[in-house]
Amino acid sequence: MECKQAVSFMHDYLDGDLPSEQARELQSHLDACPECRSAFRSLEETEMMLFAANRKTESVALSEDATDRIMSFLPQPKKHSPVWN
Amino acid sequence: MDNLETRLVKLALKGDQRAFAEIVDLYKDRIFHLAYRMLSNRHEAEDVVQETFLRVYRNLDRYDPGQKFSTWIYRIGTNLSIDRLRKRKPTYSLDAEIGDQDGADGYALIPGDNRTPETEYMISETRTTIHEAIDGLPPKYKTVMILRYLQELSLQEISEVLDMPVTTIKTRVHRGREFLRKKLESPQR
Repeated sequence: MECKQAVSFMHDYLDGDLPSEQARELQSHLDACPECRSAFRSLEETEMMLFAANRKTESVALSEDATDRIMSFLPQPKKHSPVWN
Repeated sequence: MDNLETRLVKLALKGDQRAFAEIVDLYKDRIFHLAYRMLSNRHEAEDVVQETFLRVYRNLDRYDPGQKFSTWIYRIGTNLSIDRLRKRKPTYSLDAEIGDQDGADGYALIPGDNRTPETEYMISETRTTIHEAIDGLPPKYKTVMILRYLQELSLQEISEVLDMPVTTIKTRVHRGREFLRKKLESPQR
């Protein structure tokens, strides 16, 4: 397998989309190619960091009264006629 | 689940304001975080939240209950955020720019609460680095990466929100990931 193909497989793998046969091909390429092995490790790390970045609650948030404020900006209620029921 | 949203939409269509307030409650934070990550500006993000719900309210009768409500509202929030990003910057060829962005586009990170325990310092610093790296992406990659990693939507869901083929979304995730990998590996640029 060429390295270019291996990189494409790595991404599919991280997307959870790599069929097991290709995963085995990727594995044997990684066993043989130190550069791809290191690229794969750093891609996996990036992926973990990206998901981990979201694990902590965001430091910014809407204020408590946001819902009331949003509601107060809406136009006055008018009767809609539902198109589906 | 979606059934809840569908019921709330029906009630809101009949003029039940409380039902609409429930919808606002369910989605306001998600839309805010989406917009905040896209725009890096609290004030603008709040405006996007407001506009999103105004649009949802005005177009409620056009909501198709066959579609997931979350997809519909994410689409509105994402488009409003993208519109603002576009207005803010001159347009440029996104593909040509990849690898050339350094995130220094004048945004200020809002400081979190200042009593972060030492043990969390590293985590929070990493998080800041990641958010900065995402901020530095050209908009079309940034949108996809935010939806994927910060909103945790699936590739399929992103494709529905952005109304683009899954293959396009995949390509963008792949390129975005490569970009971030390089960025996160070498913080000194």
